[in-house]
This record gives sequence, structure tokens and C-alpha cells, in this order.
Amino acid sequence: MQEGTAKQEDIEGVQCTECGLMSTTYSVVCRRCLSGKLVKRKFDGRGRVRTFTILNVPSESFAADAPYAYVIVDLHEGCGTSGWMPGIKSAVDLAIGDEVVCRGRRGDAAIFVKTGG
Amino acid sequence: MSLAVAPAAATGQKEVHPVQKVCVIGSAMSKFGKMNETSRESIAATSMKAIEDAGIGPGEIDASFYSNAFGVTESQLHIGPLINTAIGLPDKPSLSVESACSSSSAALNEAYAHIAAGLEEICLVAGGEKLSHLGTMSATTYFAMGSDFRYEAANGVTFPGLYASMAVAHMKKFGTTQDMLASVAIKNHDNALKNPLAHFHKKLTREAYMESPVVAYPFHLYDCCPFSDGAAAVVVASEERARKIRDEVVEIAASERAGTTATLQDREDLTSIAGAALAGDRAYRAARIGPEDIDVAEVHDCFTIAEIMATEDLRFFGKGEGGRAVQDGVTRIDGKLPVNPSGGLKAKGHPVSATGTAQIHELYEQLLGKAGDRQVEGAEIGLAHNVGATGGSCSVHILKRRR
Repeated sequence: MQEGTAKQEDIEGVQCTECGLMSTTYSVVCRRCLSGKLVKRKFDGRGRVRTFTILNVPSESFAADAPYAYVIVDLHEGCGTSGWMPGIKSAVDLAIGDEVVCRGRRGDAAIFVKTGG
Repeated sequence: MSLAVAPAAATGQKEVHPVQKVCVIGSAMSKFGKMNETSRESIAATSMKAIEDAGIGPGEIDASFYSNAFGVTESQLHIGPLINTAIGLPDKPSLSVESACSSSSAALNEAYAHIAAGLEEICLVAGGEKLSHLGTMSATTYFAMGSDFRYEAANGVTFPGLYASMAVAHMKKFGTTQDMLASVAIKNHDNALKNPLAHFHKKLTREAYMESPVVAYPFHLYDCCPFSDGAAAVVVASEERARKIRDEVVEIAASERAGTTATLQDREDLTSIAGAALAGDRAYRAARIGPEDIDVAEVHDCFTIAEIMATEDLRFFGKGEGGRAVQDGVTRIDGKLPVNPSGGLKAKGHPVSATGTAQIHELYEQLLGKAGDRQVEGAEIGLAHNVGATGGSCSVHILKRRR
């Protein structure tokens, strides 16, 4: 359960070969065009915060980490994903539209950090 | 803005031809809050109260539909036969329905379908939960299992956090304010003061709201419904049977369900719950009415923003106008469109699997004029909106008083 240290971590997902819809959520049929032709692909972990919250009351496996942010990120490659931002302690530290990058993983959590101010 | 009856094509609705109309003939709920009984005991006792309220004996029930989503925390699954046996129906079929926080409205939809199709004449629908033995951290963790665990809970988010992230999006897009969120909580606490069975009987001031700890930005403690224990039950019957049992009946004019893309990261719009809007439009169409015809509504206010989004998704108000409406008092018991006169999940309490049937209980009392101090004057048509998780499952029921 070591926090990743790589500069940028790719995120795994799928893309529909018919309509192009991308998703990091497990799926076997495209939810937009219903094609079954999905291929696995990786996304560069760079994106922008679509929305967020800051958890003061965490669930058990994050008990030692609070407060921290949970973010929904629009990846620049055109796909939504979810992430964990340890160290974000209040809404002063984060805003919708902030540029973020995935830096690694802890378990299934995708660790995001802010980039470029 | 409002469309009296949505076209079938817009709601993806099939033309259905029920063999029988379905009516509510009895209902009951336990005191919500902290209880000493098990879910099994509470659901059985509350079911008997609903059966007595219906004026029938348990032997007249043809089939039962139960919900107890967190039964595993009491080391008990397959609760249906236990309740059926406890109330003297060991040979009758029971079905357990799990649909997160919308479990018992989904169960009601099953009972509705059985009666409408002519398969059964009288059904019992009951749900209940015990959560107080868990403690906040453990209950929060169990609740998070109703999210998309791999992508949501695994990234540290809790249920308050998921709805908080929708609130942040709603505030950014529409300028919804903290004061609007507070207005939902204050109204529902005021209403619960008039509900003897509510979890909270505590007036909430703006100051107490603001001073309460921040749970998940922007939510303070008082933006969140409590973890409650309790049970609620309804008895439903074909209109033919209902007319023989009761002089005055309440018809289920619509029982509709729909879904929303499960994981928030995949939704185009985080300020609305698409499945709730769809179930609402289907329900208006099935009942041949529009949002302007609703006299009273019980909506799924698990968090304050959820009530605001619900009143927009149900087209009571335009998109982004729900916050202003509650701030202006439109949804108070004495307002133009009373919302959550029971106190809602927020203050009546939210024993997960009891919530769907508790909403129906409140509407049944309201439509029969039995709601006491919280009675909405002249209520004839009521709507119940119940959401599972972040909207992956949505139910909308419309009840109509029939003389």
C-alpha cells in the first residue's frame, strides 16, 4: 500500500470502437450506442476537476487520512474518472476547473495532485 | 415549463393495461430513531399494525414483499419467511427486495405489479432497518457499499461525500447557496416537530446549522439525514377487494421506476438525477396528471441538496430554482406545494429499507386527512419520490384519494 511516486500514472479504461465513447468504469457494452465492440485502452492521467468534496468524516479504510478530497475528473483525453486527493484540507485548496494529474495508486484509489498552480 | 402529460416516446414507456387498479388499504410505521428490537421484530410488529389498519386479518394476505438491506449487519438474511412466520403466514410466498435506499418502494412496485396483473389480490409490503448498533464509522462504511465501490468508495468517498460533490456542482452551476441548503434542513426539522414518530423533535436554527461540524464540504452535520432504526409497512389491494373492505380508498395512480447511470463519473449532468426525472415523467403520464396537480410530496432528502434536486427533477420548479423555492417557503406545510411534511429523511429519519414505505404511509395519512398537526389542507393527490444510492434506482409513486 505504498503511495505511487511516478510523475504521471496512466488510468485503465475502455473505448467504444463504434462511437468513440470512453469510460474508466467496468462495462461490456457501450452505454451510448450499445455496441459490444469495446477495446481496452489507457488514459493519460491528466485532467480537470469537474466537482469535488472534502471529507472530514471518512469511511474506515481512510480513517487515518482525513481530511482529504474526493474528485471527479474530466480527463483531457475525454473521459470521466474518480480520484483521491490526500492533503486537500479545505475548499480553499481546490476548485472546479483546477488542473490535476494522477500520480499513482493506493489500493484501488487513484491519487491525484494539482499541477501548475 | 411543465408538460401536463409527457409523451410516451419521451419517457420510453410502454402502454400497459392493468387488469386491476391497485389501492392502499392500510399503513403503519414504528417510531423512528434508536430501537431495542431487531429488524425482524420491528418489521413484524409494524406489519401487523398495517394489517390491523387495513381492517383485515393476516390470513387475507396473498403474498408479501420485504426489504431489509442491511440485514447482514444483524447476521440475518432471507428475512421474509421469518416475518411471514411471525405474523402467521408460513405458507405464503415472500420476496426480499434490495435496492439500497429505495428498497421498499421497489418492493411496493413489485406488489403493485402482482396485483395490477391479477396474480394476487392483497399484498403486504414492509421494510425496516436497524443501524444504531453499528456506530457512525461502521455505518458510513456499510452505506458506502451502496456506491460503485471500486470507483467511488475506493477513492475515499462516503455517501455524504457523493451528494456533497453533487451539491458543489449545483452551487457552481446555479448559484445555490449554503443558506438554501440550511432552509431544507430547518423546514424538515420544523415539520418533524409535528410528527410524533419522527427521529428528531428538535427545532433547528440557522446558527445551530452553521455551527455544526462540516462532514463533507459543503455539508454540515445538519445537511445529512441521521442513521435511524425503524420499520414501515403498507397493505395494498386490488380495487375490487379494496372497495369491499373500505368505504374510502386511496389509489396508487402510478408506480414507476427508472435508473440512472450508476457511477457519478459517467454522468453528463451532476446537478440532476436523470432516473428520478424519468420515473417522475412516467408517473405523471401513467396518472394522467402533471406536476401542477400534486398537493403534497414526500421526496428523498437523504441530504439537503437531494430535496432541492428532487423538486427540480419532478418539475415542481425549474432547473436551478429549487433552492430559492425552499428559501421562500413555497414547500412549507402551509406553502403552495408542501414537501416532506413528515420531516423527510432529514428529520423523520432514514431507516434505509423503511423509507419507501414510510413515505407511502405519510401520503396515505395525508390523503385521508389523518396527519394531525402536519395535515396539508385538502390534499387529494400525493407523490412519493424514493432514490436508491445516488440515483441508480429511482421510484416515483402517485397516490390519489378516491371517494
